[in-house]
Amino acid sequence: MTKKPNPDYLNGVPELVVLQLLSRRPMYGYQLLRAIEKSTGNVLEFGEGCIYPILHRLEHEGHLASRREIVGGRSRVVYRITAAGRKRLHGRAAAWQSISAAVNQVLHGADDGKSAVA
Amino acid sequence: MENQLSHEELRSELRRGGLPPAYIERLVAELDDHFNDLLEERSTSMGAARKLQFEPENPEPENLEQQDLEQRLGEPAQLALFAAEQYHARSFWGRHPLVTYLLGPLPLLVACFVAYAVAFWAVTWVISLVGTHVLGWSEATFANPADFIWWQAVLLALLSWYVVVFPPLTAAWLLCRTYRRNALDWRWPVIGCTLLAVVCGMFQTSYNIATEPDTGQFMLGFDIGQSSAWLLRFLPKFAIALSIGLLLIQRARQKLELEVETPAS
Repeated sequence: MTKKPNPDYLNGVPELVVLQLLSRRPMYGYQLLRAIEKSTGNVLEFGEGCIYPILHRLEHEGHLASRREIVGGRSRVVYRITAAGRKRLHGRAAAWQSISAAVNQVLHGADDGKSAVA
Repeated sequence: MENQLSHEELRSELRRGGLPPAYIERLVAELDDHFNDLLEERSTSMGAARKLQFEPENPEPENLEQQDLEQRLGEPAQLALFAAEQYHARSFWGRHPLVTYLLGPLPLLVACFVAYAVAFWAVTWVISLVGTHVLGWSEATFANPADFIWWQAVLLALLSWYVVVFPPLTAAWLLCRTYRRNALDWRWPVIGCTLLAVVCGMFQTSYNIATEPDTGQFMLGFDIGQSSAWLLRFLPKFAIALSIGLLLIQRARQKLELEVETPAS
């Protein structure tokens, strides 16, 4: 059950997904992974351990804050988004939507960029 | 703990990736938490369903279960590679060590010179302001520079040190700080500090004390030559500067080893 690496063009997507999900509520790593699985219908998959280096980098950059808390009777590191993280999320989300719209236009449109479907 | 062996493998891979011990411990602790969550998940009905998927393929389900959980976390080598990549990507300087340590030192040195020149100008401006308004200095006070020969000698010697020592020292300190904060390979700051030491080896200052009717002067320049006499002037300055740089790197390495990385509370 080795997970296939996601394609290269998904660079930066895990960060966007992490920020978006943490903007809804604070979570610890395991919870976050399950939330990613659930919200993407298992389309985005990577070695589960890889989430931690991403979380640590975002924390170092000031986009997340973390705290050890007792959750469900166990001590866990809970991550929450900061104001700087929300700002980055808005920037990244806007960039992603614009790229995604552009790629969709190429995939579904004619050469002049107009939709091929009448 | 059952997964102790994998921890050791992961630790050793992370060390090979140049990550600091404090970060390694933090990452391993969180992976341990995650592993325990996966074990808990196994005991739930959803976990049991996952278990059924692979049990028929292997007669030793416990071993398979352990392997499966570890695979879900990621192969230690791949995980370590990714962790090192993310750690070094924390800043622009960490992502581009070639720029930081090969192209960066000289512009950084120039920036430090400018900063120290501005600081020097600000201090002298404040002193002259205080002197004029509080101590009652006027042009007549310094009409005869010969009266202040000792003051001039001391101040010019200090200025000479200030100009030659502080900017390169600050630049070297910044390079070492970048190395420590990004846990880069220690050879990068060695390259950067060597470049700074070469420049320091070529520094030359000279000054004349003002005596009536001669005016004083202070000059900073580069002594560039190829003769053996030049080499004899260059080498001691280069060696001293490089030694200081290496000491700073050694100190940064020790700090990196001792740093404790914990989640903010």
